[in-house]
Amino acid sequence: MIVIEKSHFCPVCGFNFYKYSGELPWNGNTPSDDICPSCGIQFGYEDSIYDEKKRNDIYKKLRENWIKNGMKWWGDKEDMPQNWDPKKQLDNLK
Amino acid sequence: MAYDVGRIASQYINQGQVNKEEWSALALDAGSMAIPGVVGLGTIRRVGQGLKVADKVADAGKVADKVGDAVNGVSEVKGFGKKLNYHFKKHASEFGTKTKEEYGQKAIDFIKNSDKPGILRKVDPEGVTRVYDPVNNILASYKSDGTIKTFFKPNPVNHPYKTNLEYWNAQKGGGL
Repeated sequence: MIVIEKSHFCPVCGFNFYKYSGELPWNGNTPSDDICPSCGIQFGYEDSIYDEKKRNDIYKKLRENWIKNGMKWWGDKEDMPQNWDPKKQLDNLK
Repeated sequence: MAYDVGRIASQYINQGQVNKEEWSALALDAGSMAIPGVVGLGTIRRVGQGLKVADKVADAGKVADKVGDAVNGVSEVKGFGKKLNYHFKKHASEFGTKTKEEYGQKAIDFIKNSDKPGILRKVDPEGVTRVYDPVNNILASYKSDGTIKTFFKPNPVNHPYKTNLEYWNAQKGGGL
């Protein structure tokens, strides 16, 4: 059984980053330096701050921008899940 | 290889397996091979200061140990693997690189030459090494198996700090 935890998802767009890459976006306070194929954030770059509230504020801003720009898939088409639904994906963050 | 000679000399002397006097003659030659700055040691041998030289070689061996670790780490740089695409897409223009190969090679070259003075280095709790050149504003990270994780030029427009040096200083991990 695969346990899905909140830490598996991109905190900006809700993409299941762990399922895609086998790595967490952040492992505790250590960023993966990887890039989310869904929204394009690089964990440890745009969100490189260790205060949880401040980091969440950054995610909120990036999420708003991503939504405002049409929730476009950032990465290669072949990495896009079948029937990808960005709106539904955002539900992973609730 | 040259670093290893200094390292072995240091280990044997420090472990007390061979006394300094016995090592002095061999250590002189090892030192000149191991550390370019110790090349003049042969002259000292000729004036009969073998013991002092052995001490110097032991110290040089310790330095070589640190440098050697860094060099050994970077000598195994493998490239990005399948993650090259996205890092190229995001950061290639920062280096003026047009192809994935060009960008990937620049990253490899940067890491392989990152043992130079002035290049800052940290290893995070996951064993990922980050290196930063503050003069040219270039940052790279790589795993302990030599796989590159990222290679880019930080920009305060994208990260939450006023300067790129502040961004670097905020990175977790200890320096070597």
